[in-house]
Amino acid sequence: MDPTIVEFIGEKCMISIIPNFSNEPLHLIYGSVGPFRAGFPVFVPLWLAAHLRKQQKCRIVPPEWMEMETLEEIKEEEKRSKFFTKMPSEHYMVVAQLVMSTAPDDVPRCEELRTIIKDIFDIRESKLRTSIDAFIKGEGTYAKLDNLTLLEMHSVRPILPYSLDHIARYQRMATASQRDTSMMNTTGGGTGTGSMSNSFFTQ
Amino acid sequence: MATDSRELQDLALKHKSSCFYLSTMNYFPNYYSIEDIFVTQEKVECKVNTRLQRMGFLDAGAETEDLEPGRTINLPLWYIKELKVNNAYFTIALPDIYKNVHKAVCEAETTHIELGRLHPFFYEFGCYLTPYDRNHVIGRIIFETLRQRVRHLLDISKNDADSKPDHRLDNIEAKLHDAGVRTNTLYINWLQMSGNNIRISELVEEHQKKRKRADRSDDEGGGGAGGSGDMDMPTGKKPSW
Repeated sequence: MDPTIVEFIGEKCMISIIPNFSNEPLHLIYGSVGPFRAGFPVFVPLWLAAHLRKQQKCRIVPPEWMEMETLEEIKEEEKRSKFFTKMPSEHYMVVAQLVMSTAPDDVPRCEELRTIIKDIFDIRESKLRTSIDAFIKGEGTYAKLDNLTLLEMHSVRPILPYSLDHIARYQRMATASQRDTSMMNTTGGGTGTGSMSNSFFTQ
Repeated sequence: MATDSRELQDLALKHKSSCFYLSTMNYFPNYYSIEDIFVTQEKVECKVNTRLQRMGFLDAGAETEDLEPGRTINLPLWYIKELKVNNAYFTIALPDIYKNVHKAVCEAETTHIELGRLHPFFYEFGCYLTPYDRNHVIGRIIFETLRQRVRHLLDISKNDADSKPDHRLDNIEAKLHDAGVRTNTLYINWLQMSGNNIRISELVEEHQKKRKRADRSDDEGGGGAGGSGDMDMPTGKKPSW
């Protein structure tokens, strides 16, 4: 999975546009959009919005979370919280990236917004790396990461699953050898092997 | 460690890393992997326990035809690992690196050890030696070392993509590092909207290459038809819907 695929998935998000033309509804494979009436806002998928905007056929209405105050709040909340906070959109990075690159004029204070969204992403990414570290060094057997968006997951793939594979392999190796030899030593006694092999985990 | 074969190893590894399967899949030791062959090629110090008749040729310094008990010889790992752990003939002496590292793991920052300099296949070599270690130290060392170093790997692959710390990383780590750098470049390219062309997915591309190769060796008459037409996407711009 690379960012272009994440973008492709994110392009299915609905966004409001104000078309400057009138047209019948468009019947697409997954549903119909429209009808378009000049001057009236209508919800369309992001890819269609970007396409129409490139042809100067509409104006994109930025989503309500895409403004300074809301994002400042989110950023503060993200800094304060130990966990990942819920993002206003599942694909906030993709939406921001697409809207701001195709229609910078439709978004007030575009550059500042760009910076703050990047900031939020960076905070979340470093948080992700810290918690991965805590997870690997800790004793936990699973981790729960709510509210993580696709692009953030992408940032640690495939290096994280690969490393976990190796770590698990070496751990198995270590415990297996311990069990083998301890069984060999206690062939007469027979008991106690269970606790011996377990000691590696509960040191 | 065998420094003379290092060049050969490098060459082979470079060739391998250009290979599709290794760049996109996780390494796992298997019979055909060149890394595994290199690891098992390493020499291990063994003490001879019993008199082995007519095996004197194994020891370069031996005067007799037989191998006398008490001598130390270097045997390749692939030979040793086929014997039982507590066989009557040899006792394996563990390499020093795993003893020194143990201290380092416990006392110092793991991220400062130059693993690649210690041994280019630190983890895999240790893995093979684990059963021979009566104190169960090696298994724990390699496990703990990688566990401690993953964060460091994540960080360096994110931050300094161009300066590759060659001698600091073991073979496994270098692969992980490459994977991390690759992810990061993809992300940066996406952010700058520079990689926006639609490209064939790597899987399909590799498949086509194989097919072309097969076609060429087969017969140039009938084979060429499949290779063109709808496959010419890589240079095409993202279609403006």
